[in-house]
This record gives sequence, structure tokens and C-alpha cells, in this order.
Amino acid sequence: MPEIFAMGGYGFYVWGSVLISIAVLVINWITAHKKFKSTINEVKSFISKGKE
Amino acid sequence: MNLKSIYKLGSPPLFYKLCIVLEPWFLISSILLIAVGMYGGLFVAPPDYQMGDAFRIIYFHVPSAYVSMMAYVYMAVSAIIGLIWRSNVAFSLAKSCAPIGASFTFLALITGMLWGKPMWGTAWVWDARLTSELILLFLYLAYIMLHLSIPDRSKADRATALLAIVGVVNIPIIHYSVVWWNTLHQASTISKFAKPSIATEMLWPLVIMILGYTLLFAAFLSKRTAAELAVREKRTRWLQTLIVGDKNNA
Amino acid sequence: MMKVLRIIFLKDLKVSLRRWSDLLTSFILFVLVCLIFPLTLGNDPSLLLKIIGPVMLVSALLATLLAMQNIFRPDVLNGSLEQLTLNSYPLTLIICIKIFSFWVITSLPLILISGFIASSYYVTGNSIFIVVLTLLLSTPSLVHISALAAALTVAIRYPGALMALIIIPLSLPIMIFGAKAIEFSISGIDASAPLYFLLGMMFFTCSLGPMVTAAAIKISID
Repeated sequence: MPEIFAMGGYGFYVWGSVLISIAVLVINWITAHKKFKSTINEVKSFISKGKE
Repeated sequence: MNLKSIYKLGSPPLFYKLCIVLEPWFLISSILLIAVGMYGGLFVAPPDYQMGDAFRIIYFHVPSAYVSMMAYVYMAVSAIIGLIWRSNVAFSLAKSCAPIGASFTFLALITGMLWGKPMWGTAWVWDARLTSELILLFLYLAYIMLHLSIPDRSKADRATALLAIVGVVNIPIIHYSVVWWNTLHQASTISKFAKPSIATEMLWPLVIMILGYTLLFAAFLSKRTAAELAVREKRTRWLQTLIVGDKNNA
Repeated sequence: MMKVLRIIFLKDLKVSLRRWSDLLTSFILFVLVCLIFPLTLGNDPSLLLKIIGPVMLVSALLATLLAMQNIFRPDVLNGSLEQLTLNSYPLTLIICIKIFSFWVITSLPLILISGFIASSYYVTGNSIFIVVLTLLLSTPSLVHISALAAALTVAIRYPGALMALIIIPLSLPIMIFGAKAIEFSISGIDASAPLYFLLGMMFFTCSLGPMVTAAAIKISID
């Protein structure tokens, strides 16, 4: 287990790249999801305002 | 695949529904592929003779660089289609590509720096490939900022489309920079025609990761394009019935 | 046709010369930025010889950026550019002449003074000629790229930072090869390879630039 963690001495660089890749991709997903939800809410409020 | 089905893709209701339906499939398949690729790359592939275990960063660096260039080409092609046919679908695609492409370019640069520090001794060097990838990041940022600064939407679409088309000259520069110049960045290992110069046990996780990243880009793109299209088409009946119908069902 | 182009050229020259304070600003910016480096870095000739290439080109880029903010905006504000897009003469040629007149007004003084600035950086002999030639070959490309950025941002109130963000990625190859040309000539190597590249970039931007700028003008105006 520790040798996987150390990755032959380059552990910081390899696992750092893994972590930052996962972080950026997850952030991408979260922002895309939030944008979608907020536009759906905006359209819904636009529709309900039109109905008044 | 005839011309009519391509034309049909330009209709907002069809494209919106396509994005909504395809997005979960893209997401799940990409997460599976990335998980398999990561396992293969980090644990199964043998360590490299020269670089030791640090070469495993290739499984994160190459796919994100590949997607960053592909995203820009998608953006430029959608921009051309939008300019010629004045299509809302094409402009929504182009606008949505930009933030995703920018984040993949950032990822490519960061993982490249993390790979360069142990291998070359320096995190950054001003050679052709790294500099042109940095230029790509600035082009994405310029696109996003230009879109934000012009208040009129159709004007913003067309102006940024021009910017995207002008910037596409950068992509061949990035791709062929290792061929044209003697740079520090190594030459390409995967080519369409020749046998790859990399071992098979190291190659298959790389191909899987590239596929996974591409599908993940498609997932992000579908979600953002659906959102952008919804904003542009909020006055139309098809969208309103779709949204209100959802509310009734949910 | 040529008569129309000559009229537009002379009119732009006259109008720009009336706003001489703007042009003087960009010229003084160029000279000051070039001179600020020896003042702050001290009197080390070898260091100054190393940095003159990048300094010259970056100062030229900044001066061009500053000057080109005014190429289209006054004409858009007083409506004359809209009239130019509506008449029967090709907008591409009109834009080409406009950009050429702007190059004459803003970049020719830079090119003429660059020889003197180069000699103040301890550059000698043939290299001064190469410095002037580098600026002569790179400023048309910079001017055309800045005109494109100005055309894209003509509807925005304070376009300075956005223009810089658009110009810098597109002009980096010119900067790199221009700096290389000056560096080669100072270290005695034959500088013709980067100069040929600059010439190629100049032909590329000067032929395609006006077309894309005209398209951008048509988009930004209507």
C-alpha cells in the first residue's frame, strides 16, 4: 500500500495530478448542473409571470 | 445519414430533447471509462524505464490536452455554422464549449507542469507547444469575456464567432509544434498510420482515458447547451410545455 | 475606385492629425516604456542588449493597442462608418485603407525613433538596421490584429482590457519571432529566418485581416 502511495518517489506529482483532475472535472459538472437548474427556474418564473 | 437529418439537428426542440436524453448516458459511460482507465493507468501499467512512476501523469495530461484542442475545433465549427445559417443551436453549442474547453486547457497546463517539475526540473519552459497551449487558454478567456461584454445577444454571438474562427489557426500550431520545432516537449507517440511507439500495456489505459474524457466533455456540453438553448427559447411554446409538463410530473 | 481610396486615406490622415494628442500619447508611451528599462535596470550593456528585442516589441504592441482604440469608435459615434458600410464600394478595401492610414500615423514615428532608442541600448552597426526592419515588418501585422480587436469591441464602452485580451494571444507569434530576429542579429547570427517569418505573417494578416475586420464591423454596427 505505501509503495502505491509513494509512486516511486513521485507520489506528490502523480497523486496531485489525479486530485486536481478529479477536482476540476467535478467542479465542471457542478457548475454545468447549477447553470441548468438556474435556467430552468428562470424559465419557470418567466412562465408564471406571463400567466399573471 | 442524409442531409435532411443534419438539417433537422438545427431545430431547437429536437436538439434540446437530444441533449437532455443523451446527457445521462454520456455521463455514466464516461465515469465508467475514466474509472477503468484510472485503475489501469495508475495500478496495472508497468512503470516506465526512463521516467519511473511519474509517467502515469500521461493518463491525465494527454486526454485533457486532446479534449482542449477538440473543444476549440468544435467551437470554431459551430461558430462557422452559426454565422452561415444564423442558427441558435449552433451559437448555443459554441458558447457552451468555451468554459468547458478553458477548464480542460487549464487542466492540461497544470498536469503538464506537475509532470515537468520532476522530469525536466522546471515546471515551465517557453517552448512552442506550452506557449501555444497557453495562448489557447487566453483565446478561450477572450471568447468568454467578449461574450459577456456585448449586451445584444445576436451581436455577441456573431462577434465571438469571428473571434473563434480567427483563433483556430492556433490549433495546427499546437499540434505540429513538436514536428516543426525542436522543443523540450516530447513528440507524439500515437499516430494514425504508424505503429505507436508506446507499449500496449501502457497504451490501452490511455486510449480508454481519452475516450472517457471525450464522453465527459460531451456530457458537460449537452447540459450547458440545453441550458443555453432554454434561455434563448424561453418564449416558445415547445419549451414552455416541456418545462411546465415537467413541473406537473415532478 | 482609386480616387475614392485616396480621398478616404487623406481624410483619415487629416482627421487623425487633428487628434494629434492621442497619437502623441501612444508615441510617448513607446519611448517612455523603452527608456524606463535602462533607467531601472542600471547601466549593464550586456543585460540591455539581451532585453532590447522583447522590450521594443512589447512597447510597440502596447503603443499600438493604445492608439488603435480610436480607429473605429469616432466614426461609429458620428455615423460615418455606417455610411461606409452601406455604399457600393467594397468595405474590405475601405477598411484596408483606413488601417493603412492608421499605420502611417501611429507606427511610422515608432519605426523612425526605434533606431535612436536601439543605439541608446548600446546596439551598434548592422543590428540597428535589423531592429528598424523588425519593427517595420511586425507593426503592420500588429496594426491589423489590433484593428480586428477594435472592430469586435467597437460597441463596448471601455474596451481596453478586452482588446488586450484579444490581441495578445493572436500576436504572440509575431512577438516571439521579432524578439528572436533582434536577438540573433545582436549575437551576430544571420537573422533572416525570423525576418522571413515576420514577412510571411505580415502578408497573411494584411491580406486576410481587412476581410475579417470588415465582417466584424458589419456585425458590430447593425
